Amino acid sequence: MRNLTFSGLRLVICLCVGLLGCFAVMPSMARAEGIVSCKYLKAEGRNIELQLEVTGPAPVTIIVLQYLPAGVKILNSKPAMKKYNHKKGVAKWLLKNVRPGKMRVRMKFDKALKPGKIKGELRYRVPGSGTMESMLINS
Amino acid sequence: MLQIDGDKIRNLRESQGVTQLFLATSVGVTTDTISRWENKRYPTIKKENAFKLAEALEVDIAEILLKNHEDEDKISAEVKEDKEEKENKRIPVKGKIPLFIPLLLLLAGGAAWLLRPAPPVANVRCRRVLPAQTPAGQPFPVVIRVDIGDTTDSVSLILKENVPEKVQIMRGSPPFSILDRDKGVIKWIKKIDRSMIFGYLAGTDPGYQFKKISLSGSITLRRKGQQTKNVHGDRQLEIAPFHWADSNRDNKISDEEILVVYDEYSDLKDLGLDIDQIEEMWLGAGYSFDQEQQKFIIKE
Repeated sequence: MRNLTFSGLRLVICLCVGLLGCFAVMPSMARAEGIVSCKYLKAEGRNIELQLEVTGPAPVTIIVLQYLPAGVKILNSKPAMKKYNHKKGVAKWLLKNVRPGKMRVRMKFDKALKPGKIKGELRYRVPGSGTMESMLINS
Repeated sequence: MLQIDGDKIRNLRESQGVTQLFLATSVGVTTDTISRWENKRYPTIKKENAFKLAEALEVDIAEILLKNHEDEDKISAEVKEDKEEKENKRIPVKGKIPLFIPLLLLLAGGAAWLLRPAPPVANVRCRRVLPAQTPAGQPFPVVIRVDIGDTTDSVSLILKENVPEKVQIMRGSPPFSILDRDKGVIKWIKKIDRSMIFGYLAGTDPGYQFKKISLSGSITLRRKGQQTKNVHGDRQLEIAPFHWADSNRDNKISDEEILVVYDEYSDLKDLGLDIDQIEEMWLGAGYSFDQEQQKFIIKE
């Protein structure tokens, strides 16, 4: 009887430990998914606004590419862009020390853009695996 | 020279679950020497070694020193008497309560099972990240990521790196605990929680003749039962006229390459890596390396 009670106690403890283990693993599985999403909050006119949202483990650095229609120039941006290739019509940003949350990239153009005429791209390495990820952003 | 208390050292080491190897590596002696200290075959040691030993055992130096011989004799005599007294007392006790012994053993066993200490950390992972190449005469970073797994306890460890002859060791992040430039040995002795990134900057002379640099290293945890393990990951880098960040050797820093620089190396700010220059290469149309002038020329 005493042995049975002791075995029962061991079983209960094992079950509790198992359940606690499941709870401990579940959040890490969710964290491992990690999502970077991006959309244009404003995609027409002279002022364009892009929003990035990072959930889960954030990539250390994200490259933002903004493709521009021919003949359109960026007058300024916040944060400041790293490179602007007039010939190819591509502007680049390097967002460092990225943390989970929302970030915005604001651009001001010399001409008003028509709806549907703007697109961009995000490039980053997936935390943990280091796989290169590329994501197109359409207006 | 100082007289040490071998028994005390052994007791402290065993009670803390520390291996002789860990002490030996911390002090910079062999495990045989530690054994001789503990067995009183070497009753005196150098003052500096005594300090290192006390530090490794996390006690004040006075705790491992022998008070004096008379005291020791007294203590030994007292202990001996005490033992004899206990042994004399045990004989009638055994005869009186034999029935309680199995029950007591069962309870003690149950208590020991319930209160047993957490198992020692077994899943230590230690990975070295190296660039694919570096030009002779230019510095390159080495990163070692240590992960001790899911444990609530912090763990003391010794991380050792062996750097070949004619490779200069420049800076470490965190700063080195021990640096022997002549032997090409780096050691970090650290207490870490879960994970830590170690790194150093090394380089060669411009006239370095070899085609490759090979590195090796090991990690020793302070906990008993933990073996010394080799550092895994990258082991070699080539001497080639390309920047260390240009992994595909196309004289350009691509988007992926700049992201790798930030991912793998930007945590080690103390190394003084010229990340701004790499960023300029990334923004530029390419680069070339001038071996004579020992500098990278960036194409606009």
